[in-house]
Order: sequence, then structure tokens, then C-alpha cells
Amino acid sequence: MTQAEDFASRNLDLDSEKTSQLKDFVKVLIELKIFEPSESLLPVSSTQIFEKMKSTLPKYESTQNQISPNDLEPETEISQNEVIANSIEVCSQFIEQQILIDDLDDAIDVKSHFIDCHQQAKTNLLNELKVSSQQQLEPIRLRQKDLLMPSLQNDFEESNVAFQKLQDLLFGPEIADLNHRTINIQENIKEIENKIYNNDELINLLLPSISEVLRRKISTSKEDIIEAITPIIDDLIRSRGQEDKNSMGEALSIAIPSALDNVSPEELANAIAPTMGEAIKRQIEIEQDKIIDALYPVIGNTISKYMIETIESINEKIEETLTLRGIKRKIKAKLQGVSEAELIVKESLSFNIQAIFLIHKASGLLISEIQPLQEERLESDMIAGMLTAIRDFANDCITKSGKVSELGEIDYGASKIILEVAGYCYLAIIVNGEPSKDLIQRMRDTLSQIIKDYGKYIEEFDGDLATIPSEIHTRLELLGDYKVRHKSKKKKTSPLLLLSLTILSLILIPWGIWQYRSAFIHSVQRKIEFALASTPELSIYDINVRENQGKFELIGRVPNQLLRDKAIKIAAATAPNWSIKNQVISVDVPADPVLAKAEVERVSKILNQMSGTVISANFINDKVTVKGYVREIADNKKIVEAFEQIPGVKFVSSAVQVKPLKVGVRIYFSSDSPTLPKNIDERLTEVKLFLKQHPTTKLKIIGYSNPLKNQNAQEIALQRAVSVQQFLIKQGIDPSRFQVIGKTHLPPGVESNQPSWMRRCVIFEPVKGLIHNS
Amino acid sequence: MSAISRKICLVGDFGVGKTSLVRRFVDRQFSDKYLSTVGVKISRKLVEASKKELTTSQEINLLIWDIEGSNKYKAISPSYFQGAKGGIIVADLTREDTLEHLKEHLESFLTVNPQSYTILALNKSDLIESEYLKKIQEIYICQFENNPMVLNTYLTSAKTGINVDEIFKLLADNMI
Repeated sequence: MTQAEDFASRNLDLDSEKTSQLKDFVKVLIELKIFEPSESLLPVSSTQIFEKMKSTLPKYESTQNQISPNDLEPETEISQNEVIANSIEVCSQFIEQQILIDDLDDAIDVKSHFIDCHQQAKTNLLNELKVSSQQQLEPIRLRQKDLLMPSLQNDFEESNVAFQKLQDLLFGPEIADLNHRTINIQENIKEIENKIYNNDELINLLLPSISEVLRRKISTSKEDIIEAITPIIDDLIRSRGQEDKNSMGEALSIAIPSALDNVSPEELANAIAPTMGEAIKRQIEIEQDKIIDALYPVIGNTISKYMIETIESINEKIEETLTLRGIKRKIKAKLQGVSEAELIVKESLSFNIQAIFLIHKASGLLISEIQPLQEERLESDMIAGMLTAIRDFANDCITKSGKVSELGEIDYGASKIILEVAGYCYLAIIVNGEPSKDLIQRMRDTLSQIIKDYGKYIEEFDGDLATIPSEIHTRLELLGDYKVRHKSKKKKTSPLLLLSLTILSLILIPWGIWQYRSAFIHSVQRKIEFALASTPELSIYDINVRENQGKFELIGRVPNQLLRDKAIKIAAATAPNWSIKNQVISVDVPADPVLAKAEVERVSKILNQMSGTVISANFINDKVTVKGYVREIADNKKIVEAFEQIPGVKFVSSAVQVKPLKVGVRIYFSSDSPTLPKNIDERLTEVKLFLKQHPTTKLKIIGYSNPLKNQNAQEIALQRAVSVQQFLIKQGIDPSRFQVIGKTHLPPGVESNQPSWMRRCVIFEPVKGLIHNS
Repeated sequence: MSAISRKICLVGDFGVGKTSLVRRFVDRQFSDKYLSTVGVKISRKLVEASKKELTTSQEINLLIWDIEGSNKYKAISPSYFQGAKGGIIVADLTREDTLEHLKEHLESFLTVNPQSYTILALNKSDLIESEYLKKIQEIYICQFENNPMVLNTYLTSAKTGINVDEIFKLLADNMI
């Protein structure tokens, strides 16, 4: 029970009306939150006033004590209380009227304490009265109750006068003093009322402390203030905002940034998101450049990043221009009639496989699926069904009767569904971007492999995935990995490197072949050289084996043709598969001059044994000079040849004179007679000697006659020769050594103007070889 | 045991309520608006099915092909029926011609899938007075009684949901 309520209950014994009035007052105080239920909260100033009041009260009490309970008129007490009550009522009414004025703290504290003290005095008095005569008090109380109504309503003035008289009688100066004090208090209250009624005064009164009041209130009970203000604060802001937008905006602008900081990003995003588009649009309308500038760094980077990737890829493609792929692309561009650049760009734009479905062709049920991108999973069953329906539709409605054609591709946006249809199933690949031909080829290969190996299971498929071998899935996974592998393949050697390697290999390979060949040739060469060196007669000569355009050449010098021929023979035997050219020169080696000289002498000796040959040879500096005589010119030749054969002889100079055999004897005859002259024997001595000396030599016996004198000159001439022959035969000489001839013209060395006897003669002419008798 | 997939087809004249039946069964919704199906609409629902004699149940992934209804100018393309394990032939109780076409649709479906079970759904039963309903049902039950591939004839209503789940359930049970 609060103090106020306690106080009210105590007063109930005295005066119910007053009590009710007090109650009202207390209520008002509580409502106004001015009155605080706690005693400790009483301000210091009011306590001081209370003390002051207390000091005056004992007198009052003592006077009251003197009053005998019998004489005590309840009216007096009532009326006295009435006065206070009235003032309190006035005060409360005032406060009620001034409800808007929040804090009257100090003023009211004074007042409440005054009342409190007064009540306390009254209570003391009452208690004493109670103690002294409990029984007497009962009738008083009853009387009091009876009196209460009429006295208050009708005889207030009267009782007041009576009370005054009684007071005068009972207390005299004390009462007067009390009255005086009361009047003072009333004046004070009036003054306070005045102050309260007068707005200006009140404001002046409250002004210094209002902030303090608020501050204290907030510090003690923040919640109450919040509770009080909360319902109107939004209206407050709104109305203020309507009143003065700008200042409100200014006021709030300070707090808004930090306020936004405290909002959770999600909430803020939710709040702003719906208007973002519109805001950007508007901003573009207002100032396009600003937006461009704002977005430029981001968009620029994004685009450039994308472009760099694309250009890198294009670069790569261009770099590989010289590769097989590049050439292939060139051909492809020509065949398709598109530019190579277009193909390059197409190849550069990357793609990825979003999903792979193996679908049962008739029912559209899914046999197997691969979805590499886990975050964007597709409703595979539905897609499989719809694709099948689309296929069916296309096949039914678009394909003309009798023709079998298949839906191959569905394009949507940047993606594609590629369909590859087999007998009982078909493969659908959903690709983001432009799929490569390679992928499609792989897809076909995979499908055909699956059909080949597991076609039976697919054919019998009825929706139960347990009947499908897991290998199908594995194969599709491999196909799904395509992109990854494609990427990893990207890391390959640069085409430039490849080109240089090609060039290098173009150089190195022939070089290697050549190296091998030359090594081989070298070995053959050495073999030949070794073979030549192992031949004793050639080992001393320096014969080189050289290779030239697949042929071997033997280069060197040997002293003669024989060795030269031998060398080539050996070389050919050593390297039978090779053609060998003989470039060996046979050179004359200067023979030992001593040996040569001896040989020359020996040869000249032999030659001198020939008949009719008398020579002498002189050997100086590989030159042989031959002098002397020979019988015939042919002998000279023989001599030269003989010397030339001698090693070490290079030149043979022959000054040999030919000295033919001559029988100088002429036998003259008398005219027309073949008869031998008388001194024939003598004359023929020389002939006989000659025949003896030259046993191998035959003799022509030629007879001459003068045809002018004789008609049978021819006969005579022959007879003359025969006569000489006969004579010689008689001398014992072999007849076969003779040849007889008759001639009629002039004998050698005889002129026609010379005497005619010189023309009648027989001459002798040595003949070599056999003589045929004619 | 993992779920097995089964394709079922809804066949019937245009506007008999095939799409509504599917919608009621799959999405638990109904709308009075008529939306003509173009081509095929495929829906999916996982159901538990069990054979009568077996206690164990099997999950079936029902792929429901809601095929464009036929009209007098355009028949249903039989290629959509391929591979279906079950068919629901739908007619509109308020339109007699659709009831007459039931036989035609049934034959068309069974030609493609002779081994597949079918159910006849006489739809829009909510629009017919109940006293007539029994009579109509009897007529059609009699009519198709002899066909071993027809499991049963039902009076259905996509609007109220009567017999909708039942037809799908019966079909599913017979497709294991």
C-alpha cells in the first residue's frame, strides 16, 4: 500500500468527503506521475519546509491536548480540516486544469508536505483523543457522521463563526497565531496559485527546473517516458516533417548514415532492391555520364577480362596457323565459305556441358544422366519427357511421310541441346556455349559404343534403373569430363616451338643420315685402305681412298701400271658393292743411276754382237746417247727400244748411222758376151769373203746389158748374172743364196753419157731374208 | 529398392479435364479456368505402390504425359503413347460426345501399348446430379468390363478431388 493510500485510509475515519477529495488528489498526482510512492524521493527543499512546519505543530498539539475530550466539538476539527481541504481542492483542481504542465515538482512537494505535516498533527491529536476516551469518541464519531452532511452543506458559515468563537475561547492568542500562520500559508498558496494560474509566471517558475525534472525522470524511470512518448512520436515526426521538410531533413540527415550502418545488409538490400532499377534508370536520365563513369572501371574490367580471354584464345588459334590444325581450319573455312576469323572466334568461345541425358526413345524415361554442374541441377525426368515429346512432335508433324529425319539440335539463348538418336535411345547433351565438332564426334562415338555393348539392356528398359548396367553411366561420365580434359590439353607446346623443332629436325635428320652414311663410308674407306696397305707391293706407296658422290676414288702414285691395276683390283674386292674410280697415277721412279748405267753398258754389249752393229752408249742423267753404226735403220729402232727398257732411262738419243752391206765389186763384160772375164776369180774374192762373213745374207746378182746395141739385151743381161752365179756355185757356195736378175737399163751410178762398157756389167746386192728365185 | 519410373498417358477429347486431373493429383489444386494444352505437358509424382498379394511397397516415379486433347479436326498423335505403361482415358460427363469417344481413344492407346493397363475416368462428376451418376457409371462399367486391359471405370472430379488419387493409385499398383 502506497503512502498516499495509507494516508487516505487514515483520513477516512475523520471525513469521508475529505478523504475522497484527498484520494482524488493523490490519484491525480499518481496520474501525473508527480507523486512518487517512495518516501526517499522527497526533495530536500520540501523536507526543510516539513521541519519548519513541525516546529510550529507541537504548540498546536499541546493546545489540543488541553482540550477535554468532552468539550471537543468535532465540528472544529472538521472545519479546520475543511479549510485545508478546500485549499487542497483548489490546488488539485488547478493541477487538474494544468494537466499538461508536467512537472510541478518543487511546488507540489511543498504543498504535499504541508498537508502531510498537518495531517500528522491531526493524527497525533486523534490518537490521543482515541486513547483518552475510546467510548466517548464513538458517539462523537457517530455525531460527526450525522453532522457531516448538514454542517458541510448548510451551516458552513455558521459553524465557521462558532468555530472562531470556540477558538477564541479555548486557545485565544495561540489560535490567533495559528490563524495568522494559516493566513500566511493561505497567502503563500494563493501566491503559488497565482504563479500557477499565470502562464508567464508559471513558465518562469518552471523554466529553470524543467530540464532538470526531465533529466531526473529519465534517469529514474526511462521506460515511463518512453511509454508516454512512444504513441505519438511518429505523428510528431510526421507533422514536423510536413511543417518544415527541410529542417527535419537536416535534423535527420545527421543520424541517417549511422542509422543505416546499423541496419543489417539483408534488410537494407531488401528495402532498396525494388527501387534500384528505377533509381539507376532515373540517374541515367538525369546524368548519363556520371553512371558511365561510375560503372566504367567495373564494366571495363569485366569486358576486358572477357575480351582478354577471348583474344588469348584467338591468339592461340592464330599462333597455330602453321600447325596442322591451323591448316585444317583454313581448308574448313574455304569449304564452308565462312571467314577463318569467324571459325577462330567460334572455336575461342568456350562451352561447357551442363547435362547429359541418355533417354529411352519410346517412353521418354531417363536411362542415365550426368549433370556436372551440381549447383544448377535440372529436372531430368521432366526434361527427358519433354525432349521426347518434342522429338515425337517434330517427327510427326514436320517430317514428311516416308522420310526419316531426326531432330538434331535445339537452340535456346546461349545454350544448345544436341540430340544424337540411336535405335532405342537417344543422347541429349545440354551445352552452354558453342559446342565443338570434336565434342559431337565424341558424343557419337560414346553413343555407338553404348549401343554396341549394352543395346539389349536399353531395348528392354521399362523404367527400372536397376536393370541398366553401371558402365553406361561410367561412359557418359567420361563424356561429361570432356571439357576438363579439353582444358588440360590446352597446355601444349607453342606452335612456334613446334615449327622450330620441325625445322631443326629437317636439318638434323638429313645430317644424321649423312653422318651415318659418312661413318659407314668411312669404315669402308678404311677397310679399303687397310686392304691396300696389307698388300706388300703396294704398302710402300701412299694410296688414298676418297669418297665422292657415292663413289670411291683411289688417289695416289705407283711406279707402274701393274701396281695401279693391282690397287684397283684389291679395292674392288674389298668393297664389291661400290664403284671405284682409279685415279692412281703411275709415276716413273728415277731408278738407281748406277744400276742403270751398268745395264746400259750390258745392253750395248749385247747389241754390238749384232752383225753390222757397232755402237757405244753413254748414260748421263737418265739419258742415253747412242753412237755408232748399224747395218739397217731397223736396227737403230731396236737399239733405242732396248735402251728405253732399262729402268732409269727416260730418253734415248740415237746418233747411230746406218751402214748398209755393200759389195762394191762390178764385173764388166765385153759387148754382147756373157762370158766371164779372165781375172774373174780375183775379182770375186771380195764377194766370196762377203758371203763368208755374212752367212745369213743372200746376194742378188744383177746383170745389165745395153739395149740400144742388142736386141736380146735382156737375155744377155741375165746370162751374164747366171755366169757369175755358176762360177760362185763352183766355188762351193750354196746356190740358194743367190738370186739372178737381168736388167737392160742403166746400172746404178752410171749415166747415159758415160762409156757404154760401164753399162755391160754384173753387180751384187746383199738381200736379207729368203731369196725366191723368180 | 530405388524408385522405378513409369510413363502414363492421359487421353481424351479436348476440355474433358485431363490437365485438371493431373493438377489435382500432382499439385493438389484446381482452377475453373480452361487452359488448352498444346502438345504435351509432362508432370512427375513419386508414389508408393503395392501389389495386392505383396506387403512390401515400391516407389514409382510417375511421369504423367498430359496429352493435348483431340478434336474433330485433329486426332491424338499415337507416338506420344509410346512406352506408356498405363493410360487414363478421360471423358466429360457433361458432354456426351466425349463419352462416345472413350472407346476410340482406348483402342488407339491399346494399339500402341497392348500390354498397358488403362482406367476410364468419367470426369466432372460434381456437375451431375448424384442420382444419375450411378446409372451412367454402370453403363460404362458394363461397356468395358470385357476388356482385360481396362482396370475399372471411375466417376471423378478434379474439382472436388473425388477418385482422383484412386485412379492414379490403382494404375500405379498395376504397373509394378
